[in-house]
Amino acid sequence: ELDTLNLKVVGTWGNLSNWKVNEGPFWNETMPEKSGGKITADAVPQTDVGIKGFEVMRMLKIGVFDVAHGVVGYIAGEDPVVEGIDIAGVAQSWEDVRGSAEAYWPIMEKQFEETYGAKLLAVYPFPSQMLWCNAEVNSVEDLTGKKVRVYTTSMGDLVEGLGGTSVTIAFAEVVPALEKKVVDCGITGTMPAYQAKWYQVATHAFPLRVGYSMSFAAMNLGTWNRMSDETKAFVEKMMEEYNESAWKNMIAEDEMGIICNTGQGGTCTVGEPGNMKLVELSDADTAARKKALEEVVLKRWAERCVEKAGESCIDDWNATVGKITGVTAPKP
Amino acid sequence: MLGTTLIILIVLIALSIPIAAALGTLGLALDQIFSGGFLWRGLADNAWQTSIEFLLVAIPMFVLLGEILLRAGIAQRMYAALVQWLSWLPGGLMHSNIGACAMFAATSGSSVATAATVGTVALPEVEKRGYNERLFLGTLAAGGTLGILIPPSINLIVYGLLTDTSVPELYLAGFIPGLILAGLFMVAVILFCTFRPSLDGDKVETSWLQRARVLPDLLPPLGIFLVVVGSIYAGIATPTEAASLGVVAALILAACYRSLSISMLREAIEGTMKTTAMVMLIIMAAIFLNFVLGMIGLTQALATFITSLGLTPFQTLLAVIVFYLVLGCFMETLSMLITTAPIITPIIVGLGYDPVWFGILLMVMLEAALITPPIGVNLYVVQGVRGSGPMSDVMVGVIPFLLAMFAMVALLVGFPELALWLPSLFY
Amino acid sequence: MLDKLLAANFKLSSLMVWIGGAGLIGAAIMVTIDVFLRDVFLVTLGGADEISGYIFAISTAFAFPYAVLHRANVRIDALYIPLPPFVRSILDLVALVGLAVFFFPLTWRSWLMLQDNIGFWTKSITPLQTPIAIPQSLWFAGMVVFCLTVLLVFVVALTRLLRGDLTGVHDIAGVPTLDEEMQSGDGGHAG
Ligand code: NA
Ligand code: NA
Repeated sequence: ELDTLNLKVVGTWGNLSNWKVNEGPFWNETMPEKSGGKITADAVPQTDVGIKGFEVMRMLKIGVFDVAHGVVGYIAGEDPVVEGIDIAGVAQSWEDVRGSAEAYWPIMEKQFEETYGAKLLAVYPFPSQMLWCNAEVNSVEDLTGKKVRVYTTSMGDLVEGLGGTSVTIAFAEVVPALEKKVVDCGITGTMPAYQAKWYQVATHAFPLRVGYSMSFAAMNLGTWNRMSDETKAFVEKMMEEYNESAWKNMIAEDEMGIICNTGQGGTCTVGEPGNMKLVELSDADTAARKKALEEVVLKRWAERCVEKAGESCIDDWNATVGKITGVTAPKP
Repeated sequence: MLGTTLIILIVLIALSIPIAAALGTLGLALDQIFSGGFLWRGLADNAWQTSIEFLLVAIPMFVLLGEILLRAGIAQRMYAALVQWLSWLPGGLMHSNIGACAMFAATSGSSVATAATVGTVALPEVEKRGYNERLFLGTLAAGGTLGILIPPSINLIVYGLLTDTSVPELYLAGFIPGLILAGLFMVAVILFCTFRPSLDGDKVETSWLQRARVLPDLLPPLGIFLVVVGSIYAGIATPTEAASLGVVAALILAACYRSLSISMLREAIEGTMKTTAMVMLIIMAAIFLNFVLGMIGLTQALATFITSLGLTPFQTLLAVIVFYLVLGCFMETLSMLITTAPIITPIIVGLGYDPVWFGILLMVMLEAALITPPIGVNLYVVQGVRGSGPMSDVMVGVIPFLLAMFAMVALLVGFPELALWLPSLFY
Repeated sequence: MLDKLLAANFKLSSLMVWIGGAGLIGAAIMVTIDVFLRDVFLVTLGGADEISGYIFAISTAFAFPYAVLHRANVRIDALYIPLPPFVRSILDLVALVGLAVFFFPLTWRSWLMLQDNIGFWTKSITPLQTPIAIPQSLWFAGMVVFCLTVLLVFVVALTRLLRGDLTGVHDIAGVPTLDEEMQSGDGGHAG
C-alpha cells in the first residue's frame, strides 16, 4: 500500500523541452497514473513562478518545495563538488557524459544530503551547449580576441583559456547583442539556440561542447523520511524510469537541434531549418581544449573545490569524471 | 480560490494599506489558506533575487536622468523652444505640452517623470495666458503617459523581462504608435479648440528668426535620446546599460550648463531614491505574490477559465482589453503589469497574436490606467505639481485624450503593422 | 526620548539615501566605462552588470527607511479621505501594521538566508565569483533599519493617538495631502 501524497514540485524552464517532454508529463500524468492516484503533484516550471534557479536548492532545503528540478550550474556557487559533474569543456560525447554522471552519482548524492538536506532522485542533461557565433569562427584559434557571452564561472575560464574575452549579459539581450556584434559568440544548448532563434543572427555553429546543463531532481529529506519504505522504493523505481527516458529524449533533441540550426544531417521536424555553417573540430582544437582545461579551467575549479571540500575533492573527480574523459585536474 | 483572492485584495486596499503591504500580505494569506504555509519560507530568496535583477537597475537610472535634466534647466529650455515652434496651432501652448512630453519621453523611461517634468515647466503658463485650465491639465497628464510607449521605457523593459520578449524589438515597436498617439492628442486639442475657441489661450508672438535661435535648445534632449536609444541599435550597449549611459550623458550636459553641484545632486538623489524605494517595495511584494499565485495554481486556473469560455481569439482579445481598462481604474500601473503580464501574455500569444505587438497594446492600456480615476497616478502628479484647485479639473481634462487612446487601441488591433513594421526591418 | 530617536532616524535615513544614490551614480559611471572599454579596446572590467545589481539592491534597501519616514508608500485613499480624522488615524496605524506583517517575516527569513550564505561562503556562479554574503549583509542591514523605522513610527504614532494628537499622527503616518506633496518637491512614482 502506497502513502497518499500531494507533492509541491518545481521544474526547470517552462519554455524548454525538459519541462515539456520530461518533467511536466512525468509529475502531472505518469506519476498519478502509475501510483493509482495515490501520489499526485502540483508541478510548475520555475519560469511560471518567477524564480531563477539560484534559489531552488535553498527553497527545497527549507521546505518551500517537496521536489525540485534544477540545473547543477546554478548551485555551483554554494558547492564546487556538485559543479564537478558539469565543468565547461570537459565531456565531448554523450557516452562520456552518461558515464561521468553514473560514476559521479555517489559523490553528488552524499553532497546533496549533507549540503541541502535533500535526496538525489535523478541526474539528467539538457541538449549539449556549444558556441554560436556571428563571426568567422572555424577553429579555436579564431576565438582569439572574440567576445563570448558566458554565464558561469567555468565557462568564463574556458573562454579565457581559449584566448577569448568573456562577457556577461542577460539571456534576453543575447540575440540583439549578437546581431549588433556587442558580442561575437554566445553559448547555449543546441535546441534552445534554435528555439530562441539564434540561428537567425549567428552564422557559425562551433561544436566544441561547453557543457550539458546537467540537471537534477531532488526531494526534501523531511518529505523523503516521512514516506513508508514501500513508497520510497516505488518513487525510486519511478525516478529511474524517468531518468532513462529523460536521457533518451534529450539525446534525440540534441541531434535535432543541430539539424534544425544548420539544415544538415537530417530533416528538422520542429520548424524551418536554419543554415548556419557547422564547423568541424580538428585535432588541434582538441589539443587546445585540453590545454585550456588543465591550465585554466580545471586548475581554478580545483582551487575552489579544495578550499571548500579538501583535497579528496580532486582525487574523487580524477578517479571518476577525469578518468572517463581523459583529463586530469591538478592539485593546487 | 479566485473569489477569496479578490475579496482579500479588495479589503486590504479599501483599508488604505500601502499597495506593497497589501500585495505581500495577500501572498502570505493565500499561502496559509491554499498551500499549508510553506511558501513564506522562500520570502527572502525571492526578494533577494528580485533586488539584484540587473534589468531593474534601469528604474533608478531613468528617474535620476529625469531629475538631472530638470534640475539643470535643460527641460525648461526644451519647452521654451517647442513653444516657438508649435504654438501657432489652434490650442497654442497645449501642443507644446504634448510635443515636450513626446520629446521628453524619448529620453525618459517613465510616464510619471515625464508628466512631472513637463508639468513643472508648463503649468506657470496656464494663468498667464488665459487657457482653459482643464484641457491644459489634461494635455500634461495624458501627454506624460507617452513616457512608457515612446522608447526608452521601464515598463517595456519589465514586460520584456516577464515575457522573454526582446526589449530592442519592443522599443522599435513602440516608436510609431507613440508618435501616432502624440498626433492623436494634438488632433483632439485642435478639434476641441476649433469648435470651442474659448478653450484656447493668448497667441504666442514668434518669428522665424526666434524659432531658428531656439533650435539649439532642442539638441540636448536629442543627444540624450541618441545615447539611450541610439546606442542600442548602434550595437554599443544593451537596453539596461543604455540607461546608465543616459545618466552619465545627463551629468555631462549639466556640467556644460554649469548647473552641476553637490546640492543639486543631493536633491536629485533624494527624489530618485524615494521613488525607487517606493517602486521596489511594490515590485518585491508583487513578485512574491506572483510566486504564490503560481504555486497554488491560481495562474493556471485563470488561464483555464479564460480558455473554457470558448471565445474566439478576437473576443478573448476584447475581453482582455476590457479587463485592463477596468483593472486600470483601480491599480497602480507597474504592479498591474507585474501581476498580470505573466498570466495574460501566454494566453494571448497562444491565440496566435504577436508578443511584441501585445506588449505595445498593453502599454497603451497602461497609459489609459495612468489617467483613469480613482487610481490614476498621472492625475495626481499633475494635480500635485499644480498644487491647488479641485482634482476634478484634471479628471475632466483628460477625457478627450482617453478617447484618443481608445482610437489608438482600435488602430493597433486593426493595423498590427503600426507596431510590427519597424521591428520587421531590423529583425 | 521618542522625539530624539525619531530625529536620529530621520538623519540616518537621509545619510543612507545619499550613500545609496552616490553608489548608483558610481554604478552608472562604471557601466559606462565598461561599455566604452568593451567597444573600443575589446576588454571588459568583468561583471559591471553584476556589481550594479548589488549596488541597486543595497541602495534601494537603504532608501526604504527614508520612504517610510517621508510617507512615500502608495496608498489608495479613495475611501480614506472622506473618513473622520480619528478613523483615519486608526487606518494609519493599520497601514504600518500591514508593512510589518509582510516585511518583518521577510527580514527574518533574510537573516536565515544570510547565515546560510556566510556558512557556505556561497559565491556567485559568474566569472566574478562574488561572495554573496558581502553585498547581502549590507542589503540585510538596510532591511533591519527599515523594520526598526516602521516599528518606531508605529510607536510614535500610537503614543500621539493615545494623547489625542490626531494631527501628530497624520504628520508622521498619514497619507500626504497634495500641499504636502508639493512642499516635498517631487511627484514620486516611476511607472
Ligand atoms: Na520613454
Ligand atoms: Na487608473
